[in-house]
Amino acid sequence: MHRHDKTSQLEAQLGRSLTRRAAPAGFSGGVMQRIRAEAGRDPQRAPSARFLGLPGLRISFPRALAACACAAAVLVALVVPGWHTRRQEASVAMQTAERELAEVLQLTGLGWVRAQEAAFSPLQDKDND
Amino acid sequence: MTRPAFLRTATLALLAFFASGSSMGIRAQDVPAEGAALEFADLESKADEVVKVNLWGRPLDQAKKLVGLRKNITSSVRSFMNGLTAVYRRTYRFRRDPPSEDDVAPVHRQLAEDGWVPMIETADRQKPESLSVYSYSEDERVAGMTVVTREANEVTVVKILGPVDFEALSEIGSGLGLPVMNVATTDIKKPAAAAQPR
Repeated sequence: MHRHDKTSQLEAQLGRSLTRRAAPAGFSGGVMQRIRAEAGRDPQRAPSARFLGLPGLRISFPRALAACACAAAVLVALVVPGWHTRRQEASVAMQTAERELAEVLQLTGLGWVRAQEAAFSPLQDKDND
Repeated sequence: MTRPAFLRTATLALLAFFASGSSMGIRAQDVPAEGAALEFADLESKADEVVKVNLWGRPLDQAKKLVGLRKNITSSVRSFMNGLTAVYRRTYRFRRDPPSEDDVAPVHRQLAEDGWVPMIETADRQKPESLSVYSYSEDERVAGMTVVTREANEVTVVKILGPVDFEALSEIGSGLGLPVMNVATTDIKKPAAAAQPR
């Protein structure tokens, strides 16, 4: 018999016995009502039988935690290299921007100096004299 | 909170975190109007090589910080550089047909239409070279400068926006004030006068 079927059978048996018998000592009416409600549910549809609200996905908490950790590890493995690449690209872009700014400043300064030299050259001064 | 509810919330939070991480890249920005106007289709179609530089906003701020970290940069150059709001460069290189004055005419026309005033214009009749310096004024202050150079195999247009400090520009042009470091200056020619000590 499959483990899942066995569990379902046991739950069904428990449900039947709980609906027949009186509440055990120490159990309040509210607690018994919740137990009966839970036991009376279809195991496939009961909240306790679901993981992340997915019907039919029965998994214990430690396994769910391990699954989450695995999923997170896979996501990190996928995302971190891209993030690293983006940072490298940003660093290269900054260096390029620095070089471009310096070049534009030098070209502008050079143009200004050359224009000044051409406009106020010694030859022109001599002609003016 | 029940375990499934907790796990569901935790998983969704995790997914949301990674999803938000994918959109953390630098967003592409549109070229501002000043840079968009600096397009010369005829020159570009004729040129064998085109260099375009558009720097403004955050990339320009970062570049200013990095350039400002260089040793021996003078305070006047740093102050001038920090005041800049945008810089643009267009370099058109020609291997076969040298550029003529007619090729550069649309550049001068465009600058005149945009309100730029020519400060100095020089041309050498014996050489295929010309140099023009334009300025742009706002509130009686020079708020921008454009240099157009035509050489035997290259046309370069550089435009800087922001308060212009001509003394700082002279320092830069003379090879002082802005130390050259890790800069590929193969296309930057220094004038003969700058190479000699004054």
